Amino acid sequence: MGAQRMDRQMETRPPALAEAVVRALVPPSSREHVLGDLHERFTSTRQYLLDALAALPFVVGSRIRRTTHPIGFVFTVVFLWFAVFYGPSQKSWLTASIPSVAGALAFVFRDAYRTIKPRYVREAAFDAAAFALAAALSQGLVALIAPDLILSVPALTVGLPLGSLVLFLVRVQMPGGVAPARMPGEMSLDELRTKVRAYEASLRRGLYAELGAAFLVMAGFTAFALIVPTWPQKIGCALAALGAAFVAWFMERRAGIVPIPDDLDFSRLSAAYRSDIERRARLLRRSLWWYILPIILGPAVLAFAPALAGGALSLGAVATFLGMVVFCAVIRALHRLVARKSDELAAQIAALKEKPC
Amino acid sequence: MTAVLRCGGNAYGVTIHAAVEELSSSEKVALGAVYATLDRLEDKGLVTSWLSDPTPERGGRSKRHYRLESNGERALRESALAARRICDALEHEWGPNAWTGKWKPARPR
Repeated sequence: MGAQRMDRQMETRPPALAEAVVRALVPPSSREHVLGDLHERFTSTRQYLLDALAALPFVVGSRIRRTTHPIGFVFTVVFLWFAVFYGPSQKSWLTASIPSVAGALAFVFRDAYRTIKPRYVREAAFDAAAFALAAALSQGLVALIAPDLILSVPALTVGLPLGSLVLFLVRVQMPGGVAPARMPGEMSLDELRTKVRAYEASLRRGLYAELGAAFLVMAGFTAFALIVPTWPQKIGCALAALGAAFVAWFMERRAGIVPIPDDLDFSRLSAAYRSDIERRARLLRRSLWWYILPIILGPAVLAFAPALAGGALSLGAVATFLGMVVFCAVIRALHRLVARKSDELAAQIAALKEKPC
Repeated sequence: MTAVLRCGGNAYGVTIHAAVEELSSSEKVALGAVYATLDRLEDKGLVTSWLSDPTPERGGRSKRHYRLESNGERALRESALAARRICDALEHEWGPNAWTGKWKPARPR
């Protein structure tokens, strides 16, 4: 007994199990130094665990603050609630809210705990799978606690897979978990070239994702146009398909990638990089007419289709339209935010100096 | 930022936390709060950080070292000047007993 107590007093490192648990809970980006600091402060297992428990909320919270933007979070929740779960005829707003919040929270924690890897398509597929899993788990819990709040069959069989697909495309375009990094004050020509190539690759991914999404919307609404019975609905579907086609055409034409040549010197390369960023920021500021209006027009006609076909204007149609307006306002806010960040990046590039060899 | 400056070349989580506790004297500060604050300062470009080589006394893990940037020094100087102005104003209002704890508000006439 005495020897055991002595051993316990002399322990100089945390127990492997405690360390493994803390390691699993700390986000990978902070793991190395946080575990090292906790190890250095170690005096007893109890103190180690209390220290870790006190530090964890701050470490995770700080990581979430760095990787999740409030507007992006609101956008995800609004999109999931409105387009994925509430659209396919729910009994109440709460029914759609539970899986929407669960799915968005899955994104938040996945972003906080991910390690950045250049396998964007695979990571985006994992993101979509995490969302689908969280939504399904929330439905399992709801089935146990309040069966009245389970999603309708169309929402589960059509909304959830389609929503996962759209989120996959969004994530290919905008990978999550990337903390904002400031440009260093000095860079060598090779470092700048690498940066420019990475920038072009991310633009290319974004463009392909937008074109893929536009193609899916066009195909889907063209198929719906053949199925729906009334003329206003057919017109709404056609306008939605045309809107998606216009956005795809405009993006390919005006926001297409013009590769920056490799053989430029430092000042010319940084000027070309900055000018491309500024051009895209200007395009995003004007997204109301080339992105938002074309994509909202068809769905707006569809929302009011029963009234246009001679029926009464229902409260549901007005609410759906207002929901679309909110959704578009969030997209617009997101575009303006990206434009502002682009301006900041352009200003940092303007102040960039060449690192002496 | 004062704690980072005070730790000099040895500014990392544990030493910065110790310096913050020393500076705050009566308040106990959570280690996690120090990490969160350092992250914010880094995002604002006031401090920079880098990982050192792993050391055996930390279980073979690296330290994240922090250094105050020129922007950080400027911000620290400005906030210290603001604090000094507040101190001067208080001494002007409360007189020489401002820091002894014996100050009592004057009765309204």
